[in-house]
Amino acid sequence: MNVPADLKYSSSDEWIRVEGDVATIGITDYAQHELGEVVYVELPEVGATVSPDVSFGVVESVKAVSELLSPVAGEVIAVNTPVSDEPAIINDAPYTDGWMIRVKLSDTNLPSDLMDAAAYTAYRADGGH
Amino acid sequence: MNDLKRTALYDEHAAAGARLVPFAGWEMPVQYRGVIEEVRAVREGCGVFDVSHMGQLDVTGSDIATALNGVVSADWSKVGVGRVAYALLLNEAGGVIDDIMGYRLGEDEWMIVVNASRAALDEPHLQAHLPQLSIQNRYANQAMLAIQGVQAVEKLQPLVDGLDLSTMKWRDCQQASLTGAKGLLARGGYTGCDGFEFMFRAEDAPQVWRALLDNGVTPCGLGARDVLRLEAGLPLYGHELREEWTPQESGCAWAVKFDKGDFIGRAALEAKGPATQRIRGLKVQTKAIARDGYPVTKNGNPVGEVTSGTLSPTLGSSIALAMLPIGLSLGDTVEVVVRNAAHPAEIVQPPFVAHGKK
Repeated sequence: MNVPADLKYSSSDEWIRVEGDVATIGITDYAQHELGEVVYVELPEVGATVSPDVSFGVVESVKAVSELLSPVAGEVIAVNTPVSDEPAIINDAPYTDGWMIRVKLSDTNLPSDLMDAAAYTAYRADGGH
Repeated sequence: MNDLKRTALYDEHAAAGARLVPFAGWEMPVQYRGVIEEVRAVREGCGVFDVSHMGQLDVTGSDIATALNGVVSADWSKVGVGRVAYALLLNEAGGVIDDIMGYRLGEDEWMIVVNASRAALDEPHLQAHLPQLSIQNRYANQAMLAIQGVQAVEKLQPLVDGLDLSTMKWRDCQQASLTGAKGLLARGGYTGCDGFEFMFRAEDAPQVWRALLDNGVTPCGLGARDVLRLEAGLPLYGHELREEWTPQESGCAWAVKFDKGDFIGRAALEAKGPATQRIRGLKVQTKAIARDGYPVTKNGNPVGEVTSGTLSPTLGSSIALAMLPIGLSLGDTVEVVVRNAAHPAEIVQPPFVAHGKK
């Protein structure tokens, strides 16, 4: 399981990279592996608002639907449209080319329940408890 | 997961990298390398599925075909020794209890294979209605493999002792020996491809499994099995087949024969008027994937519900089966509602993928 040290993680297996007041969001290597081959992605439009733990889209494998939950609140300023056309990018490069949305944070103080890489690794090693 | 039953191949599945999930009381492989790859293996090569969770019933007794004909929807009196037949088990109201396969092993000897999810109902149902027959389940010590794909004959032949597989026709069955393991071999399957099923002793299962894998057969899970049967337009119990729906509604009227004697459910079916709804195929015109339970609308008005849906890896498009009003016709456009958005879908005649034979 690949867990980059410079990202924060949610308990629902999204990652977030914060640069200034902009956050990039995607799903973790663990999440893409659990889901299997991603065949469909539904992402919001630029200008949409996202809120913590509210669904902003879905990723689907042949057999499963998985909601995307935003770890933060803000406005969507960019959407990675290539992953909609070629969802397998999410399996191949979940932390780089497989990013999903960029959000202008409404509050740069991040929610306290986000985990660092070590905590997320331990969380997943413990079966999500 | 402590209460879940395991097949004789549990360790083999783990060794092959399977993801195991609970299914109908069993811990079963849903996939190994990936559903898409496993679907492709069957459509272009050969795959093997462990379906040992399915219920296998040995049924014996005199005048057995006549007796069975009183509980099954099809005409099993016409099934010869060495042949396999499909049928529905109906309740008194004409609803479907299960869909089953019957293998006629001898004049007075059948084997019946039932869905794992329905086995606990089927067995007492058959016992209650056929007290004159001996009905024994083989669950404890039986394995069943489905070897499926366009290359099924060439991949399986080297393992078979003294039998030319090309002499077996679709839905033939006979005793056979695979790598020395004796069992019942039938030509058929649930994937819309050529294939065989082998029912044999659990203790021989790992040896046969390994020989298949060593010969280049791809291990395939229940995920691929479900996609393949949906591409072939085949019904699955709990989705297209339900106790509250008649065979006509489920699109299985062909499996009910009224030109034979009485059978359970017959009177109720005859008393009913024509069906007002039935299962139809849908080709979704967008990339959105229809799933079981999603609403179907026509010009925005609710008309039905998806019963099974998936992305077809073979077609690269979204396909579904849905229960729809009988008034809608092939070629009509409806909408599948996916997370509050309506996606147009054309009503089509399954199969979505033509039967694959080499």
